[in-house]
Amino acid sequence: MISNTQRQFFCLLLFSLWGASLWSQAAHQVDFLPQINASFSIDKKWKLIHRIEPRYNFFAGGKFVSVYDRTDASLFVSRKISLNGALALGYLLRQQGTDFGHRFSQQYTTTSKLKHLKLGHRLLVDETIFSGRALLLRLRYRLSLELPLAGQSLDPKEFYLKASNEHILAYRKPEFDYEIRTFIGAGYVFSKAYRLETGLDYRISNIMTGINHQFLLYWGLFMSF
Amino acid sequence: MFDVKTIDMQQVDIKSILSILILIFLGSECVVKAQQVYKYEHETGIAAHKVPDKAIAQIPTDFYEKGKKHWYKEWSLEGMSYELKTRVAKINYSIEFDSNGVFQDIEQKIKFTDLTPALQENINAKLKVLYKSYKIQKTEMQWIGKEQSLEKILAQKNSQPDNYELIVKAFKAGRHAQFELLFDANGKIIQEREIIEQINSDNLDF
Repeated sequence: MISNTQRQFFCLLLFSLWGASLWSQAAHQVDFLPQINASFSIDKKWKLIHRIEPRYNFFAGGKFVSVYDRTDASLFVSRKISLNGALALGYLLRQQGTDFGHRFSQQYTTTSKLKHLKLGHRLLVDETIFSGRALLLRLRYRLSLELPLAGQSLDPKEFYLKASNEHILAYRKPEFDYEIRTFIGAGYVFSKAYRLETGLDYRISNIMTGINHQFLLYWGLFMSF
Repeated sequence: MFDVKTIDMQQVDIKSILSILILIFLGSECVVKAQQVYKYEHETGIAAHKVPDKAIAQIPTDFYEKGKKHWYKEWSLEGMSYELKTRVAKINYSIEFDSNGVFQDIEQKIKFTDLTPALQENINAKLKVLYKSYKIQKTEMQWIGKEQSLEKILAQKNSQPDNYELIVKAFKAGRHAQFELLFDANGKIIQEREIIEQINSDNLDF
């Protein structure tokens, strides 16, 4: 009979081998992704959220590079529909070289509090138009966790850990694709209005057509007014 | 002769100063929003050795040793306090002491449906008057430490609590909010406070 420990060990070994084989077969890319978010409360229900997010490649095709890739600027309008739930509509403008892309998104988010953890759910659909390419449609679901490192709830002047997992089903004529994003990081709340977080975002994309791995070093500044 | 007192800067707790500043800010907000009472708490986990000995001395040893213990230092609009959260015999307790370690109250978590049908009905009737819609998220029995010692309260496990504390999410005045309500043993409302959440969740939503 195989014990539970042995079973867990074999599962871990198989998972590691599978991961290593995917890594060896696939293309890799490492990007730097800083972002600045600013949210403005209009009243207790409505708010506007702006984001600027440039992206730089610094490892691609097996060698180190340092290339500016693109900048995304987005604006969301959010309306609270329950104590912890909100609907939002967003528009994103992408500049990449001399090309511009447009993305429209609609999302529902809700948060819930467990004893020490805060959970965030996001269900999002978006439509992207990028010069010369067919319309891209995506259905996304993300689960996020936030764990305060001092006390049961997050307060100013405290650190926290954050993790998230997102699954994305995409369709661009004539094919479907699937992407998984996993984020692990940490943050610090300076005050009610400012927080900074950083971490590593790992993305597996093109799962249905040829796997591509991406690592993103992420820095995010969140401001609320 | 003048009695000169010196201040040891290391003894000045920076967190305390920041919390007082936040409380002053919130306090001024509360003055502007007259009539509405708010609840604000800022807590941080602390080690047991940072809790006044007087507080720990009031907890019966067998009770204190049994449970998994978490100590917190809390700042609220009423001042600073120490709180022990523990779970003994599958029951969650929360015991509060003031800044000098004097026992304030003990709360025991229960299900709302464990209250007597008459009390449930009474409380629900009050909530229906206060809110357009509501959902009870948490119910606790509360024993106040003014006249009874903690040891005596814990010894009389099935005694009548002084109050019941409810956390309710509700729709009131055209918006959703979370409230803490205190009812006496007969279901009469003693206090209603809106809970203020300090930190938004933009980083989880966007």
